[in-house]
Amino acid sequence: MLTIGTILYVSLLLINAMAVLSEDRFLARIGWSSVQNPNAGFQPPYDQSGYGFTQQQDAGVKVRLITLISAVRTLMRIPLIGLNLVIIVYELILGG
Amino acid sequence: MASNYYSRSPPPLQHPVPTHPAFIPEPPSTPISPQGYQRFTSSPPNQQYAARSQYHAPFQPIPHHSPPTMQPQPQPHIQQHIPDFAAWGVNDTTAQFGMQLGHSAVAAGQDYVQKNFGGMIPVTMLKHHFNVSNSYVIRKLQLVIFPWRHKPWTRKVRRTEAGHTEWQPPRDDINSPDLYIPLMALVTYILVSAFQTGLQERFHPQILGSSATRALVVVLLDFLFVKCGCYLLNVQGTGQVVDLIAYGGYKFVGVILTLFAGLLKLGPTLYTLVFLYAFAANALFVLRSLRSVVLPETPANVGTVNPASRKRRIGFLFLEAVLQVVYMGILVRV
Repeated sequence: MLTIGTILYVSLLLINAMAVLSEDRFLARIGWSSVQNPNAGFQPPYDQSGYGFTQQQDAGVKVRLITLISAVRTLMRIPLIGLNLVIIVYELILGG
Repeated sequence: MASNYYSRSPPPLQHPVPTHPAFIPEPPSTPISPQGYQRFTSSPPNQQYAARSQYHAPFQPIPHHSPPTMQPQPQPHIQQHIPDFAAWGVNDTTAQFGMQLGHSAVAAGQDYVQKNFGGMIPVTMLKHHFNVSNSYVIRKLQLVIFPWRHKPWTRKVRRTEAGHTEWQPPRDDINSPDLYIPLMALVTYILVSAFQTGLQERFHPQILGSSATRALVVVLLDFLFVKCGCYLLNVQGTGQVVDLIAYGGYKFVGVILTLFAGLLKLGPTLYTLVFLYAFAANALFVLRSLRSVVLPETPANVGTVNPASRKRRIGFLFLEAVLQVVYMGILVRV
């Protein structure tokens, strides 16, 4: 059933999934880490594959997606603790 | 005779002819609402009402479009609408005191709401979207049902006032999205789905709530998808939240048509045909409406979109139009 409760649970689980991704073990491996300069040295900070970060307009879809994910992770770390606590207590007591 | 409330024996049989129309008490004018209280019914011409100070609200059209009998006259005196309590048998001073109390209570309540929640709801934008007329509603419904032959889909920009340009209100511009039709269509959808379950003898008051939830969730999902797509594709200045919600709300019109086809028991093939037609009409409507948001056409912005990005945006538009069938399918399953 498409109730608000199920929507809430699904969105909470999805955000949990996004928050749990390990930064250096997983995201860096597949090249989705939030952008610091991956190559130390004198290489230009962006190449032609749409990886541009300094120029806002040429920022490709991938970069914006990465930015979105990292922003959600940074912002939702603390509130997720509270939300999860509330949901867990609720399910333990009244879940049934 | 001015008043018909005689406490003595009624006068001999003469039909009282009212010399002026029935008295409509004036709603309390508060200092918070910027344009005073807008009433779009005709009021008797000899009745004067308070038009409080005209704030320079960003939307000037609403005083301009009010019917001509209601020209707001700047009045020196403030409240003239004290009804004739003496005729109702209530003491005058008590009544006046009660009214003062009521006025101050209402003003205090509005003040509180304004201070705490004033910034959250974009009131002027909502007012703009509800500024519709009858002819607009009829033509827009025709457009939603039959969008194939409509030619210019761009919204008209209004003359710049104090330097900034704005969209014209829905009264003047058929292409402007409004919130009236989506809201009414949403309520009608809830009622029609409840009616259908009633005809199938499985009505339950809970169905009203679940139907409303389903409709709101579908609108929310649609809006989130469009917003997410606009962010990922770096669409500049991607319109307002309210506009996107308004565009998403037009699908209810097609859904209601499909539900009617089901109620009339036209048979499964005709029902599917109606559903597919409603989906196609809605898809085209969404496509054309969102095109002006996603793909810039004004000569100022055309240069900002390079060809690869342009193709991606067109693909995104098509995906959004096709997803309408999913949404409408969810909604039709009453």
